[in-house]
Amino acid sequence: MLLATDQALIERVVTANCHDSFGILVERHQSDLRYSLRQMTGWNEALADDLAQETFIQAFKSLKKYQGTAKFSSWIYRIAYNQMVSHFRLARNREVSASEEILKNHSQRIGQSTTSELDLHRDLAGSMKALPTKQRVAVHLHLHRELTHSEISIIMGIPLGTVKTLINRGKKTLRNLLSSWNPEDKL
Amino acid sequence: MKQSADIENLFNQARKSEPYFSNRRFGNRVLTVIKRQEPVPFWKEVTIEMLGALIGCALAYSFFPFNDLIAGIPTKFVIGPSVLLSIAGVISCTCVIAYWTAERSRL
Repeated sequence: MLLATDQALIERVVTANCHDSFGILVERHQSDLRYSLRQMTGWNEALADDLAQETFIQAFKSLKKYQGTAKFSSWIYRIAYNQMVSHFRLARNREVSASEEILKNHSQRIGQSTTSELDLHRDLAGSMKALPTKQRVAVHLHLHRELTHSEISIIMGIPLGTVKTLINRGKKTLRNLLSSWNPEDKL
Repeated sequence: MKQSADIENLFNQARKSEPYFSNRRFGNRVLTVIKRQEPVPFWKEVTIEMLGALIGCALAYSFFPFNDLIAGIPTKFVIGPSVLLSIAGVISCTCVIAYWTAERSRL
């Protein structure tokens, strides 16, 4: 069976307001986005799913503005990033800062965690939580999603140089945080 | 260098074992919200308003003595200077209120 491309589905949604086509787009991209948002929110499942839902609703409303110059997934990530930044701006005081205490506690917890695969993802998200929001997003998109610096620059709406700086700083912090942890322990 | 490689390995490992989140409930929720938020088409909105207006008119006609009200309207008007002055006053007041309403946010 031939699968319709994202572009073909988008055209169907825009021209015929086809909800089924949008449903296929959601099905195709929801898991990646929900996982990424979990990583970016310190594995806050409820918040990540709410942000993902808002992202897809916003995407549906703005689909006519999608020009197809970037990949649909990148466009979705851009909306999700803006949603997340708006959310954290509104709940400014609720976001956890990268205090020494958190870094210390988390480093210990990672060392003691069980071998379950989901723990790896949760631990990683927990470590990422110690990074400032922008660093966290840049590091995740670069190291996990393997996006290029220019793609990240478009998604986050910041200059290329800033993306590189964010990634380097994020890596440095993560290195310090994970220094006591050996990946082989997880296998 | 080793630590850097460890971070890359960790992310590689996470990428390879990334869980798949089921779409069933999530997808349904998104589509339900989209359907609920969709604006009513123009023709549907106009039809509903017209039907409402017709029902309203029919009810008003049966309840109010329209013939008596129409009979109460004077059939002859005498336009004198005082009437003209009153009309000019009413128009001026209306213009002032309209200007104030329109520009209120800027004042």
